[in-house]
Parts: sequence; C-alpha cells; structure tokens
Amino acid sequence: MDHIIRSTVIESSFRGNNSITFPSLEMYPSEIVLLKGDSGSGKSSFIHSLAGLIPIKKGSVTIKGHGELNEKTTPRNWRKDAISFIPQKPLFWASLSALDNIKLSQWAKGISAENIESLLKKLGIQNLINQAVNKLSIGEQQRLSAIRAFISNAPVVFADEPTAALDKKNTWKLIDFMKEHQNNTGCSILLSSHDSRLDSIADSIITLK
Amino acid sequence: MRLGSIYFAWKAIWKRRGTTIFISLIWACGLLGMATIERFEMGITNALQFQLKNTDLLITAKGSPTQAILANVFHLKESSGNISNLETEELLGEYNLQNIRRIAYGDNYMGHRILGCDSATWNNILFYSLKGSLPKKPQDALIGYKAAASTNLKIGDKFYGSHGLIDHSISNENGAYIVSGIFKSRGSSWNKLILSDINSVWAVHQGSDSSYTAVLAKIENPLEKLLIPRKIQSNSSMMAVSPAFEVNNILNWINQGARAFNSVSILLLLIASFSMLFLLQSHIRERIGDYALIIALGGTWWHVAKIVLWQNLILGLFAIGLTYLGLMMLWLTQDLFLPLSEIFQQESFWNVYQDRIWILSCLILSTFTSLGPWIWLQKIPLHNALVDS
Repeated sequence: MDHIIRSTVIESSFRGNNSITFPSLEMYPSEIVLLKGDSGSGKSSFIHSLAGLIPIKKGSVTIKGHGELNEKTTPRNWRKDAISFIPQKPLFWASLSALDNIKLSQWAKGISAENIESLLKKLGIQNLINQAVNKLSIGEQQRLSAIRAFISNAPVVFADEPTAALDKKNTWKLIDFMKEHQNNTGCSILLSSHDSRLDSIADSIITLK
Repeated sequence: MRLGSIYFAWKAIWKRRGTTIFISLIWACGLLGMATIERFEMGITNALQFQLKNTDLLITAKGSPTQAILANVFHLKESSGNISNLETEELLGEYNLQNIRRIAYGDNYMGHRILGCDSATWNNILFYSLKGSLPKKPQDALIGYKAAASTNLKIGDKFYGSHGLIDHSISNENGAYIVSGIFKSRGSSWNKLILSDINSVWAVHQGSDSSYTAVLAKIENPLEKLLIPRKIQSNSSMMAVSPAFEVNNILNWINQGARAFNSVSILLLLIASFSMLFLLQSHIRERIGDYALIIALGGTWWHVAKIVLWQNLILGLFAIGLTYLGLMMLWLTQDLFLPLSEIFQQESFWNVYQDRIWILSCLILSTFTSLGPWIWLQKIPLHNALVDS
C-alpha cells in the first residue's frame, strides 16, 4: 500500500535562528500514529512543521496527491485540502459563537457541511451551538476544535493533544468520534499526547526525545 | 447558510465596539467639517443668488446701500424710508427696465412684517408649496409657513396689523387682513413674511401717502446694469444700487473664509486618517492570532485580505453614516444658530451627489489603510502568532 504522508528527517527554523530536527515519518491510509514525548520535546513544533506553519529549513513532507512541502514551497491548498489540524490550545475567534467558528473554518476551506449539529451532538456540545466561544470551558472548546477539524475530508489529520483537557468519558467519546470519522473517510491521524489511554488505539508510536 | 467575509468582518469589529466607534468618530469629524463648509458655502451662494435673481436695480430712499439691500431684498432690517410713488413711476418710464416690483412696508403682526407687493412680486417667489391661493381680493394676505407657524394663523383667519415693525401691542383697526394662502418658498426670507397687495397695505394707512418703500427691477442689458443705478443716483433724490454687485463683494469674502475653513477641515481629515491608520494597525495587531488561525485552518492571505478590507470599509461606512447623522443634526438645528435661517436649501443640502468626492475618498482610504496591515501580517511567523495569541 502507498504512503499517504511521507516526511524525511526535517529541520525547522524555530523562533528566529533556532532550529529543531524531527525524525522521518511515514503513514498509511487509515493509520493512527501516536506521537509521544516529554513536555518540550517538540511534539507541537513537529506537527506545526508538517502543517507548514513553521518553515522547514531542510527535508521535505509529501502528501499523496497534494505535492511536497519543503524549504522553498508550501503547496497551494496544503492546509486547505491536504490536512486538518487540531491545535494543542483550542484557538477560536472570541467574537464568534461556536457555530460561527465552525463556519469560519468552512469558509476558509471553501467547504460546506450540513451535519454540524449532529457532529456537535456526538460530542455532547449541541446545546452550546450559539454560545460565545469564550464562554465555553477548555474541555468544550477542545471538543469543538476537534469537530472543526473533522468536518473536512482531508486525508491527513494532525491532532495536537486533543484530549489534554478532557475527562475519561469525553476522552472516549472523542476517540470514538475520531475512529468513526476515520472509518468513514479513510484518513490518517497523527496524534500527539501524553495520555497513555490513547496507546491502545494507535497503530504505531513515535517518541520524540 | 454559508457565511462570508463581510459577516466575519462585522462580527470582529462589533466585538470591539468602543474602538470601532472611536475610529469612526475621529474620521467623521473631519468629513463633517468638510461637508458642512461645502454646504454652508453653497447654501449662502444659492440663497443670495436666488434672492438676487431678477434684481439688478434697487431704488429706495437715500441711506446706507447695505441696509437698503438687507431691508428690501432680504427683508432682514428696517428700511431707511419711503420714496414717492409719483416720482418713482416717472423715473421708471425713463429707463429700459424689466420685471419691475414695487413694495411697501406695512405694519407687523406678532413681529412678522406685512409687506405690500404688486402682482409682479408673486412671480419672484419660487414656491415649494402653496396652500390656498394668492391674494385675489383687497386685504387678502399670503403668509410664509414660518410666520404661519409662529402666529398660529390658518387660511381664512382674520388678523390686524400693529404699527411699525417691532410694536406688537397697538392693533391697526383700519382694516383686517384675511389669510388667503400659506406658502413655503425657496427664498429663505420670504417664509417669515406676511404678503398682501400693495393697495391693501396703503388702505390700512388711510390718510397717509401712498408711497413705495422700494422698487426692484431687472436690467437686461449688461452695460446698463452699471449705468442705470449711477444715473438714477445722480439725477434724482432717490438712492439706486446694484444689489448683485454689492452682494458679490460679500460673497467673495465669504468664499475666502470658507476656503480657509475648508483647509482646516482637510487638515483635520488628514490627521484623522493618520490616527486611523495607527489605530487600525494596533487593532489588527491585537487580532493577529485570529488572522493566523484563518491561515492555519486552510484559508489564504486573500481570505485575510477580504476580512481586513471589509473591516476597514465597514469603519469607513460607519464614518460616512456618522457624518450624515451630524448633517441631519445640523439641518434640524440650523434655526437655533444661523441668523439667516434656511441658508441651507433642502435640495442642495441633501444632494448626495455633491458628496461623491469625499465619500469616494473615504472608501479609497479605507481600502488603502487595509493594505499596509495586510502586507505586514504576511511577514508574521504563523507558529508564533498562533502560540502567542
């Protein structure tokens, strides 16, 4: 089977002249790879590099059918079509409601989804749909952030500690939600987490040191 | 429903209402200054030119030319005296004059001057509206809508004048006037007057001379416009002036003043634009994480550009709206602080076409001020913007 994403060893520029090196990565369709490591080991920076949010100085990342990200170019539509991204710290427009934040993402990606309410229901936040996003708890924001990432059909999803602020019940709800999405779309998920509960769902584990 | 950049831009600036209103207000102050001066200049010019239409010659009793014009053309002051109607008629026959209007001061009613006019005068009142009819019978009176409002007179009402212009107490019981019509004129000074046939005014003053207060006329020949007033002035006991000539001098002076004020206004607008540029820059700096998020979610810099552009355009539109609100307040309160009330004419005051230059400039400036921050945003490392937000 062909890889869906392949990354060589990459060196990324990080806050000015600093640089950080990350190991190579290969993922197949419908695979879940767990990225582990101590705090400060660079899990978020690795994900940001793969997403093209941190410039790469050396190496390259290829996503099948979407081109190659390297030190010179970020393929057009890389973040629009090739990847979906759940940031570690839920990031939203504070001036918008939960629903409008999802719609902002749809607008940015140029997609439309009719099933937002059912997705919100799956993660138990359907009643918060019109709530200002800054009124939500961190856990609720994290679930909303996951929904935002999974409304697109990107072949690769980067999830940076998506369960960090969730209790056990909501963690499993989110895992079920991710797996259901994976089954439906065949996407691959790169998951960074300290949470050992996620080890069981991973097809492989990469540990950053 | 799929939402677009306008919606997100609106939500973003509405969240920061205080800053939004502050920026728009600064901008609106500059625009209001320019728009007001433009209207003031145009209003005065139009008002004076309208009043002076068909009035190349004013014949009245000797005295101050300025006072004569203010009294007999603009009806704002007391006249310096009367002129003999026989001598005047003899004089009028000697010259090639058109549109001759004879007027005679009458009494007043509750402070509003009763002006006796001949039928030629009616044609020189440009009516916006006329309820009722022009005077047809002796003692019929046609009253301006402002006079009607302050005296409470209605069509068919009977009233008695008081002697002179100021006195309110002594009723002249020689003849009652009956209101035949109420009008609104484009000429501001007409609206405060009570007009009646000149013979009716004379009839009220039985026993006194049937004299004119002034005669106004048009002179077709441009050369004679200068010569006739001089000839009358030197060959008769009356004063003859060319109101257009005198008022043009005043207009030039007013226009000079308006230009000076306009420069101040442009300066204010420039300062407002620079302040706005800096305020927008800081507004955008505060929201850098929001813009980085659009990129992280798959948007392009074009998505960000659209939001920044719409934000600025909405601010510009707010400023334009506030400017018109200011103009509306000026329109509604003009009577309180403008001695020549109704200096602003409705059709020119609310002619948005005349504002096209500053409206367009405002929108261009909104676009221009969004370019800088947009270019600056692209240089910000996305990772830092996301992590630091």
